[in-house]
Amino acid sequence: MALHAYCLLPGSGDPIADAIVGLDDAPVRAIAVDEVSMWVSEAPVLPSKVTVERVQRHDAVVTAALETGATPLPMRYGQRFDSDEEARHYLEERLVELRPLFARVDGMVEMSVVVAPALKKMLRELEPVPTASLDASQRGAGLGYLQQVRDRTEREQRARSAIDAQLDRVSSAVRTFARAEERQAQARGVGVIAHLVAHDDAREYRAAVEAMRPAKDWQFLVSGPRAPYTFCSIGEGGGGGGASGASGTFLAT
Amino acid sequence: MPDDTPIDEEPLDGEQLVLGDLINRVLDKGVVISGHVMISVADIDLVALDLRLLLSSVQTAMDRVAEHRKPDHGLARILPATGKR
Repeated sequence: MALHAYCLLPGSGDPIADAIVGLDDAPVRAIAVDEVSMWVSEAPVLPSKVTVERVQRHDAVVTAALETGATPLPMRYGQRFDSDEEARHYLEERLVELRPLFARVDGMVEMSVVVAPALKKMLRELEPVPTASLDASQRGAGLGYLQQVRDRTEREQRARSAIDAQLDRVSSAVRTFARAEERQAQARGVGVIAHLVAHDDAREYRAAVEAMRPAKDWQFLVSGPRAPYTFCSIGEGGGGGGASGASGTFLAT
Repeated sequence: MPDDTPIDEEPLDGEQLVLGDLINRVLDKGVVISGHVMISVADIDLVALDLRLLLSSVQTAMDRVAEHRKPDHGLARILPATGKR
């Protein structure tokens, strides 16, 4: 058997409630090294296929960790160890990096807002399908191609500007609560902005966003509180030796 | 009571958008300690997953529009089947 890892918690590992079950209904347990513990469950040696349900189960365990009162450092889905010894070894190597991360997210949760266009706006802005492919032997084919590229680039820039304007509005509305921020533009003109906020401010954050009136053709969807996936990052690149530190832009308080 | 949300303002499926955000975050963010992480997600295209969720939302909405275009729903107005979120 291998181990699937869910999150890291400060402390040497309080008992985990039996009701918390992990992937494949395996019980979740803690592996502790000094003042850090890792929540894991037994997993088949060969990784299972990634499904929405498995990702949700992973997040449910991380959420259960958040509900203990401490702020976990959630681990990216899919991280596995061959044995307890290997997991301990990785923790021992990372203790120095983990301490400041725990301090930074202590008492915090992550909230995010999805900024999405209304249906008709999305359909209106779908990329047009070319009616015929360009014939390179035809006169002006090169110019036609360049014009297509220019038009597509301009459309993408306009879409990005429109999303940024909406994300700016959200950012301003929650500025009072936000300790850190990260933005992401996704497929089809959808934008997401995530914030690190104090656990006690999560309700007010949601209220502040819900009180906003979205611009015509847009909608705002709040999610959270959840563990700070976006604002903790060590060892990016895997296998050790990657960049370390908090991710997202930390805001002046 | 009829829903007066005009089709221009019909929202996409909020639950799916939020689910898509969660999936992207759990697969793409968080602490990375183990070098095995890429092995278990190697057979999934994260962008495609995001897009699939979004396109599914569009399809659902278009199905609803098609439903309202049936003759017994009248010709003058095309309204969404469910209320505004």
